[in-house]
Amino acid sequence: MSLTVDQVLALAPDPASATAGRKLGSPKTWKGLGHDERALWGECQGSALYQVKVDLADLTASCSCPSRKFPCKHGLGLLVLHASGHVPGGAAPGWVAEWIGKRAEKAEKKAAKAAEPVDPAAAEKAAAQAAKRAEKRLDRMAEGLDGLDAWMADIVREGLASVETKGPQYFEAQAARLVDAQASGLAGRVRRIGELVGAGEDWPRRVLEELGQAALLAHAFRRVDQLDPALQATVRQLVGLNEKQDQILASGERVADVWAVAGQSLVEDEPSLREQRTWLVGTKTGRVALFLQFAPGKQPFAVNILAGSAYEGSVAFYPGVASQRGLLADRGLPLAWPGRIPGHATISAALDATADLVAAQPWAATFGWVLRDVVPALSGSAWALVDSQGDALPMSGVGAWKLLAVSGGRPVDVFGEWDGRAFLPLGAWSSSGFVPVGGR
Amino acid sequence: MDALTKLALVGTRNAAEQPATAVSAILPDVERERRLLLEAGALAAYRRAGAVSVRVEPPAPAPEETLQPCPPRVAAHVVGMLQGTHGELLGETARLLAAKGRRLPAEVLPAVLDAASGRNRELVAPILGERGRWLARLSEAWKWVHEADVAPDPKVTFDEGALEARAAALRQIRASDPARGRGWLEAVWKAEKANVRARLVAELSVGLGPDDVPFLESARGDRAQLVRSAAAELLIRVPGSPTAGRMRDRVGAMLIWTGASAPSSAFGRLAAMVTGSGKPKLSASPPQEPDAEWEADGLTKEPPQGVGKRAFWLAEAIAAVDPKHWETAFGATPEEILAAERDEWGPNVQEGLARAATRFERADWAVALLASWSDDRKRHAFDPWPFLAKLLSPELAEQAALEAMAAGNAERVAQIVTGRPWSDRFAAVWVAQLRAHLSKPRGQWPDPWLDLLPTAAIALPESALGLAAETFDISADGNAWLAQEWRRRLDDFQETLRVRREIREDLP
Repeated sequence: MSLTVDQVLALAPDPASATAGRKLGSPKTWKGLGHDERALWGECQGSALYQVKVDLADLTASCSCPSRKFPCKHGLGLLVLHASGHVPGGAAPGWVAEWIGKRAEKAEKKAAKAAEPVDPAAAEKAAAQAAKRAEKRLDRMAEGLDGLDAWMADIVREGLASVETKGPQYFEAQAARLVDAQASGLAGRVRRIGELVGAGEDWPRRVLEELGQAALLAHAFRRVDQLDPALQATVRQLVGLNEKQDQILASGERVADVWAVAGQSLVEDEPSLREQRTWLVGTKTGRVALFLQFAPGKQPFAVNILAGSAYEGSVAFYPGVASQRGLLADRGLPLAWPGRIPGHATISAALDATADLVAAQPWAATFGWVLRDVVPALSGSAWALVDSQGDALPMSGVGAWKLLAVSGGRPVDVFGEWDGRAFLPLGAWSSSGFVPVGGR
Repeated sequence: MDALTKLALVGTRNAAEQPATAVSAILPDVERERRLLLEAGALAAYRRAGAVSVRVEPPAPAPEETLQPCPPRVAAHVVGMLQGTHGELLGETARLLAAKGRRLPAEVLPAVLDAASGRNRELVAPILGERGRWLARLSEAWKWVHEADVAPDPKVTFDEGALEARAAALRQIRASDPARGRGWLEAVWKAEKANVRARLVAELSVGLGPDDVPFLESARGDRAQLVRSAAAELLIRVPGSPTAGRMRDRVGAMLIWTGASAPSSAFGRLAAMVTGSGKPKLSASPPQEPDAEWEADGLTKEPPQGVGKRAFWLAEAIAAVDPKHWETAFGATPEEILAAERDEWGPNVQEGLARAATRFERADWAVALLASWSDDRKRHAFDPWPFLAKLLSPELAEQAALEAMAAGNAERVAQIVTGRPWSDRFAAVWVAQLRAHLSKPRGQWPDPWLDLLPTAAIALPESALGLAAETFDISADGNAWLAQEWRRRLDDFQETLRVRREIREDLP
C-alpha cells in the first residue's frame, strides 16, 4: 500500500504537529532509515538522537523522544518520508524487531485472555451484580425520560417562539440532566436541537421534527419490551445503553470482505470531544459500515485508519435494524484503493433503499451512499449532484469545488453522507485513484 | 410553514385547533402536547423516507487534457509554495513544469486557484491545464485566469483603469508607437493630479526620443516638484535635448582635458618619461555656486551631510552626462580617460562617471571603471560595485566574483552574483570557499556569507543540488549562538536545495 503525504498528515493530533512532521519529512535529519513488510524505522537528530519506529499494520508510531503528543512529530516525519518514497527497504535492526515482537506478544496475550474459560461461580456473582446495576440504571433512565417529556411538553405548550429567547443554556441544562440519568444518546439529541434554534429560515420546523423524534424515542423506550428484538437493540443504543466493544466483536454480525475506506470526517460537536467518522464499503458485499471513534481533547484516536486505503478483514456490526455502525476486526495490512466499488447506479435507487431503511427504523438519519456515475453541478450558488438519468440532489460541504475539479463535468463515483436534505461528499475516485473530498 | 409547525410555534395554549396530518389516525391517545410531538416525530421520518430528487442541468464537460499531470508530490509542493512554503521556488517550478509539458492534477486546482494572487497568477496560469481553465470559468473568483485571454484595449485601460494598469498600458503602447502614447498622455495631462502625472510621465522612458522633448520641456515647468524632476530626469537622457546640451556645456566647463603631448625629439620623450608630463591629464574646477538653471535641469543643490558642496556639485553634474560624450570630446577611450592623471577632485570625477555609466547603462565604462577604480578618500568613499556590477556581462561578472572571492571580499561577491544564475564553475568555487569559511571559528557578525545563503539556494545550478544531502561541518570554536544560527540557516538552505532536487527528480 502506498501512503500519500496527505493521508499521513491526517494522523497528526493537531496542525502544529502536522507542520513539524512535514518539516521533519526530509531525509537529511535522518540516519539508518529502512522499512520491511511490517515496520518502518529511522533515527532522527533532534535535541538528541531519537529512535523512531512505526508498525505498518496499524500505523502506530513509537519514539524515544519525550513528547507526549501521539504520534509525535518524529513519527509523523518518518511517515511523511515513507509516503514520499525516501525510505529504502531493508532488514529491521534489533530495536525495531524487539518492539514489533513485543506488540505481537501483547496482542496474543489479549486474545488468550479473551478466550480463557471463566470461573462459573465468579461469573454468576458478577452477572447478579450486573443485573442489579442494570435495574438501578433503568429506574434512573425512566425518571430522566419523564423529565424530558415534561420539558418538551412545556416547550410546545408555550410555543417554540419562546425558546429562542432562552438561549443555549436552556438546552444544555436539560442535556446535563439526561447525562445524569445515563441517557447520553438523548442528551446528545437535545444538545443538537439547541444548536438548531434560530439557525436558518426553517428552524421551527426542524426543531419540532427533532423534538418529535426525541419524543418518539422516549415513547419507544418505555415499551421497548414489546418491540421486535432488532428494533429493541436500536432503541436501547439510541437512548444511550451502549454495548461494550468486546461484546460487539464477540457476538455482532460479522461480514468478511475487503473493506474500502471511502470517506472520513471529523466532528467536534461537543466541546473537548472529537468524533471521527470512518465509512467502510465492502468491495464484494457492497455493505456500508460506519466506524466511530471518540477522543477527548487532543488525544489521538485509538485506531489509525486512512481514507483511500482498503483492509481485508471483517466488520462486526452493532445489533439493530438497518445498523450501519460497526467495528473493523482482524484487519490486515492497508491495501491500495481497490478501484470501482459497488454502489447505487441512480439517485432514485439510493432514495428507494433509504426509504426502506427509514420505514424499518424511523430514527435513521444519516446514510452512507456510494453514488456511481454522478456529475457535480453548480446552479446559481447551489450545488447539486446529477445522475445519469438527470435526477439531482442538493450537495453540501466544502468539498464541492474539489469534486467538480476531479470530475471535469464527467461522471465520477462518489461516497458521502445523505441526511435527508443534502448529500455531503467525502471521497471520489476515478481511474487515477481515490481523492478525499472536503467534509463539512 | 405547515400547520403543525405553526401550532408548535405559537404554543398549544394559544391555539385551540389541532390540524390533521398524514399520521394523525395512528397516534396513541395521550395528552395534547405529547400527541403533537409524536406526530411531528413520525412526520419527520415520513418526510425523510419520501425525499425526492430534483432536475438540474449538469455542466458542459471539460475539454480533454493535452498534457500529462505532474506527480502528486510536485503538485503538493506547488500548493505549498502558493501558501508560503518555499514561495521563492514557485517561478522555477512553474517554468520547469511548463517546459516539460506537464500540468497540475485536477484535485489540487481549487486550492491553487484560491491561493494564487498577484504575480503568482501569471506563473501558475500556464500549468492549469484544460481542466483548470474550464473550472475557472465557473467561478467569479477565478475569472483572472481568462482575463489574460482577451487582451483589453490599452487605450481603454489607459483612460479608465487604475493607476498601475494605466502605467502598464502606456508602457505597452510606447513600445510600439511612442508618439501615440505621448498623445494619450497629453490628452489627459491637464485633468490629472500631480502624483498621477509624475507616475505616468515616467513611463515615457520607454521609446524615449527627441520627439518627446517639447512635451517634456513643458512638463519641466510643471507646478509640482514631483512632475518637474521626473521630466528633467527623462530630458537628461534624450540625446540632443536642450537639457542634455546644457548638461554637456556645464560639465565641459568643469573638466579640463590635457591630451598627451607628442614630443618630437628623443630628449622630449625621455623628459616626459622622467617627469610624467607627457601623460594625459584630467583636472576639474567645480563651480563656486550652482548656475541659475541647476535645479530646473533636475540637479540637486543640497549635498548630503558631511560632503563638501563643490565636490558634490561636480559629481552630480558629471553623473548627468552620457559618458560616451567624453570619448569624442577628449578623443580618447574610456580606459585612456580613466588612466589620465587627476587632481585633488579625482575621486569626485570618478564617482560622477560611475553614476553616469549606471544612468546611461554604458557597459564598457562600467568595465573600465571597475578595472581602474581607486579611491583613497577615508570618508564618503564611493563603492561602485552595487551600481555597476549589474552592467557586466555574465563572463565578466563571474570573473569579477571569483576575484572578489579570492580576495576574501564576500560582500562584493554578494553584490555581483545576486540576481544572476550561477555557473557550474562558480558554484564549485563558492561551495569550496563556503566550507573553508565554516571551518574557521564563528565570530563575524553580520556575515555576508550567511546573508548570501538564501540567494545561493535559488541561484545554484542543477549540478550543485546534490549539496542538499551533504554534511556541512561548522567549526566548534567561537560564538556558540552564531554557530547555532549558521546551523539553522544551513538547514533552510539545504532544505530549499532538497525541494528543488526532488522536483527535478520527479520531472525527468
